[in-house]
Amino acid sequence: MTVRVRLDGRLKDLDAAPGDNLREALVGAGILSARNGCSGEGSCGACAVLVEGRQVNTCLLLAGQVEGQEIRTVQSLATEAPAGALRAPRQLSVLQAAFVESGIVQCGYCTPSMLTAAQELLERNPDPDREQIEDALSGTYCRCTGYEQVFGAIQTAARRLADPSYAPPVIPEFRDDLRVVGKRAAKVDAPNFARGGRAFVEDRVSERTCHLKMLGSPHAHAYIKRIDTAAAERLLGVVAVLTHLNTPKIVYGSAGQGFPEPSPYDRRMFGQKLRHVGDRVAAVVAETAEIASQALALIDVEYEVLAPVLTLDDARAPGAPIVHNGALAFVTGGPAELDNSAADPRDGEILYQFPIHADPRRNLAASVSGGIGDVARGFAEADVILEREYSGGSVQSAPLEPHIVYTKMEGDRLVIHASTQVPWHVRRIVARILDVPETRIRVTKERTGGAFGAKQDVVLEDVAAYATWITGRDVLFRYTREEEFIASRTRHPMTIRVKLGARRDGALVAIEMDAVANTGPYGAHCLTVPMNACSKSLPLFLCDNVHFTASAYYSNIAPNGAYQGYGAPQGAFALQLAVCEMAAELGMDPMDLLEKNRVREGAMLEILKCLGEGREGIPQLVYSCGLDQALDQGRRLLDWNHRQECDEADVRIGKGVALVQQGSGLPGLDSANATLTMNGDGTFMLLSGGADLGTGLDTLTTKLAAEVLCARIEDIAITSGDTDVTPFDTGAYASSGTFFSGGAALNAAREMKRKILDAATEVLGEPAENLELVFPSTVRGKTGSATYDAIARNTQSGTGRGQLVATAHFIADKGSFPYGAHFCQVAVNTRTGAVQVQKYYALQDCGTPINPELALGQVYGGVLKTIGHALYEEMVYDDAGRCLNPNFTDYKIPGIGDLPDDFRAILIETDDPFGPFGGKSISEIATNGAAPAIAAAIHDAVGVWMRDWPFTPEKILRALGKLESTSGSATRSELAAQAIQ
Amino acid sequence: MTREFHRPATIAAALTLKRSLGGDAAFLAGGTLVNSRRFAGRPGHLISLAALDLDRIEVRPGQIALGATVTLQALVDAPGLPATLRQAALLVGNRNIRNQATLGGQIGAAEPHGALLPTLLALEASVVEDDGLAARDRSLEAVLESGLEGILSWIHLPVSLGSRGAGLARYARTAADLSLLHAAVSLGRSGDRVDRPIVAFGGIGPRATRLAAVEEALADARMPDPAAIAAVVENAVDPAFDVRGSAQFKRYMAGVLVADALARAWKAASEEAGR
Repeated sequence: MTVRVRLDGRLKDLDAAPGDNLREALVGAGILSARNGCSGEGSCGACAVLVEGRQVNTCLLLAGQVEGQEIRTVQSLATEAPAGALRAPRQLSVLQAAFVESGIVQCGYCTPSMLTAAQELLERNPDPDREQIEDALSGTYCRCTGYEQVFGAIQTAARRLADPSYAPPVIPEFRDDLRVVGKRAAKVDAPNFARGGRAFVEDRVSERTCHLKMLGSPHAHAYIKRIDTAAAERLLGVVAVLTHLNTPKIVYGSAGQGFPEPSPYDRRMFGQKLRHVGDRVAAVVAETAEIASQALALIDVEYEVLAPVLTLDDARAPGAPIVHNGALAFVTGGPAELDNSAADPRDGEILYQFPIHADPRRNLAASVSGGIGDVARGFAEADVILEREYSGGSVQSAPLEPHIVYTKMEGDRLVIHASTQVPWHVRRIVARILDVPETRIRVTKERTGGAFGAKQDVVLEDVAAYATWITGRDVLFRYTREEEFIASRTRHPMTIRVKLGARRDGALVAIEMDAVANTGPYGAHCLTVPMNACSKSLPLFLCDNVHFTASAYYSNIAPNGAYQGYGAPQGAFALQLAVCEMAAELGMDPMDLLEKNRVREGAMLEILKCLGEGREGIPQLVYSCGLDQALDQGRRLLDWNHRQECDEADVRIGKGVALVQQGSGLPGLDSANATLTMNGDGTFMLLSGGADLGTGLDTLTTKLAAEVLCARIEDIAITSGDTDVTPFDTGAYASSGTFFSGGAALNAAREMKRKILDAATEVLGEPAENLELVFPSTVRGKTGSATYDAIARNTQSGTGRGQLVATAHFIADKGSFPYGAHFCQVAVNTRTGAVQVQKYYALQDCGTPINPELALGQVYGGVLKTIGHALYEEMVYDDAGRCLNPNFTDYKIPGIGDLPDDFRAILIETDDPFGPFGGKSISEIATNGAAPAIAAAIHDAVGVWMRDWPFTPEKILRALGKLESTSGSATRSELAAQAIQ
Repeated sequence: MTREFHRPATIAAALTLKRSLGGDAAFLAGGTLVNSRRFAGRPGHLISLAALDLDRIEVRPGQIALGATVTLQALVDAPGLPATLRQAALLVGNRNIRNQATLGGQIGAAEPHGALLPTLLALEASVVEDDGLAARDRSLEAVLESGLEGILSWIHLPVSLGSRGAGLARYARTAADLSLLHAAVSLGRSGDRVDRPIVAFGGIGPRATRLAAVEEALADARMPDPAAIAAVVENAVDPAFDVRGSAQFKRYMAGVLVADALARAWKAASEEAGR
């Protein structure tokens, strides 16, 4: 059918089938900005546009419903100039520009729908207040930004529409000695997002691309006894059907970590053993998505169903079902004689790059222990000993753009358009599986619509690449939201026992920490995540006697991986809350106990020598630490010593604090490279290996180069994360972007500067020592000056020295640790168990904040995610291992209405000697504070210690004795007996 | 899979279509439920009600008439509607949905969760069901219980609560979440006694419903303390386990929420009485 509408000001006939929704019809008409984040459930708002002036979700509208109506997408916004006004090409509207400059644009996936919601608001209300903005954007989910900066963006636009000279509110800026570093600047990719431009993998897909659909296992633990794909293969339009019978048997690990990885190689593209609901049974590649779905239904499978292993208790029970009972092998360091006699060939095999103290026959995926000093002596000297256990369940990273990949052949080379954090690891792992050299594969990292660690793994790329490799066809593989929940990567549930010994004066004399993680069906990150729970929390306290163990067990829940924080949030929750509990035992103010024991500048972190990633670590000196200022400022802001009362009889108010730290990449493991080339007009191309996930890494590296080269930011164009075009980078994980990718860009810029000065000696006839770079893009000598334009023309002429090209790399053996103090105030309703976060102040030391407004956005986003994790986010499984809430209706993530009433991110500047211009990481650390700070505040309010997160109303009521203290919430048996209402 | 989309101009035409197409057709109001991926078994024919001129709000003598295709956002924006109704519409905390979802669609869907249906029950809403030949008034409760055979065309409310007051309370996980549990109460105040209480609840059982036992306990009684009424409510409900909470939690919360909604209704009625 044809549906005539007025689309962005022009009459348009949309082609649509009667059942097509408007989103599909718009995509068919070339509108890219109506994104798909919830697979048509209508719960995320990413597809929203204005229909007859009102913001609606296009996935919930049939195309036929809008016949004759006016539809406006984000692409219409830039036409708001007064009639007859001249507009520079690609100029942004006032609203779009305000979004770009406020820092609210991160990954960009939800930006168009946020903009149309804001446009609708401004059209009916030219001067909206905070509550009205909250209402206007209530239908749009954003997982990156924490929403806070959108209030300023919209209010700036409103005022600027009334008064074009209106200047936006001042944000803190840093480093008066620098021109662009530490100053506000537009995120380099934000204008394109604000226009709804081509950016993501799905925007690259060509016509006639085949669709790959996966048949997921209905069972959490099973063998495939028989599989018959004949009927599916006969279906018209089916190109290929892939199963364990016709795909490579090479074992690999999906974790995108530096080679050789500490994660075991314990999976195949398709296995005969199925280890979680949604595990790969078979894939269909077909000419349309509908045909692929029809074909999946024709595949006949007979399963041998096994008892599932779901919890840590299940996994560790004597005689527990074995999740991985395949043969074991080691590349190096394995035992002299391996006994694989009991292995079941249907389980495949496990290959270890080196020993990680695993025992798969007991479901133990990995373990490590270590320590400093003598904890037994420390506990003997303690006046008070406290031992507690803390736990948390599965949470979903929930990027608005689900996992997606598009693969195609170009000549004899395979091209992978990926939404990934690790393009080089993707290339290496796919090359291994296809058994081809890396020369045959190009990975292009497109803009990612949110990643948060979940895209540090090879989740889709292997099977799509193989499908293209054997068929020659373009292949698109995109997860649905449900698949994203059950078959991408989630956070490891973890149980952590903490034992503390303290003297009466509060000095900690012994710490023991035992972190046990549920790694799920495969071992990606199984050693390093629980280890990170210890390595990012223990060094916050200066204690001479420390011991830790970290282990992970296999199970049959959804696969776990590298969710932002990477174990640190779980570790921070346990250790920070235990310290608060110790303060209560000692009768001390928790802030006094933190002050007495916390890390300081100049401290040597000996514990880190035991916490390398599968190898010996390096003790580190703390060169910079902003905790003095963070704690002092936070204490004053929250009025820490003032007891707040509430007028409502059932409500109690409490305050909490938590210290946080993270790293800035992995010294000794990570490596980054960058190249700068000078163009013929004196501008630059920056080729960075770094993977910008929407965080602003490309902006950061561009600013570093602009600072060194005395160039305008807009005179440097960046390309990043393309294995054919840019040099190697280990990838965007472990908080490495600023330090490593930034360091490489800085080094490349310094090398380019040297080359420019050298080339300028020929142009100016002066020795290099007389020359200096001055803004804008000029070399000044004692007798004259030359623009880069002139230098470029000289070097690139037939008699010149050649184009100026500078390549540099960055590695480190020293770390720069970001620190922070998170303060919160909560109101707990003792009748309903509801927790309202009234105030949340995140004070974070990131050295020199290179992109201040983007750094603030990283903090807001990280904190809000973790408030969601702390209060209500949790994947729930039934007894059979089925996730019962794999969608945004049943699994809630925070919306704009869920912000703390008073939400502040505050950047603490410190002087760090190693990072680029003193920069340290900023993002991941922000996820570590909410759970312990809120739990401490709940205790302060109502006197109960919440040791299992999320702190749902039901759990709080049980802790308060309002409900019987049973299992905490509905048991899995109870859930299994009931359908979801 | 929808094969055809229809947009009749009259109620009679819409009903004729539906009768001719039988079970393979469904009426489509806003579409937030029927068009969602979560809606299983979308029929082959969808009959849009958008052209039936039912998107009007009319304040008539003694009565407010709300057209079935009035959106929830229109309820929020319209002047002169009961504050509780506006509040309930706002508790569908997502403006995108409110811009599209219709009052009639919410009633037709009769989902167990949500703020609107318990609130309409407490406000004594009735509906007009049109079978193409005649329109008849039905109680909302009866429609929720037994469904519709014709087209729901109008929803009627008393023009004002008079001296009665109404109050709401809900449990939801986030601001934009559905009301997973929702209590709505309206009552009059006769001295220190409760007059003709209506207590409605959503989120327990298959549909929003009135809690007769609780109404009976409250009728002509002095305003009870929260614990006492909560105990009555806990005995009157029979919740089931699901992913959103245990039966014990829901039973407890039902008591708390009804007590809170009751207190708000009492306060509102007291303020009315004081005018």
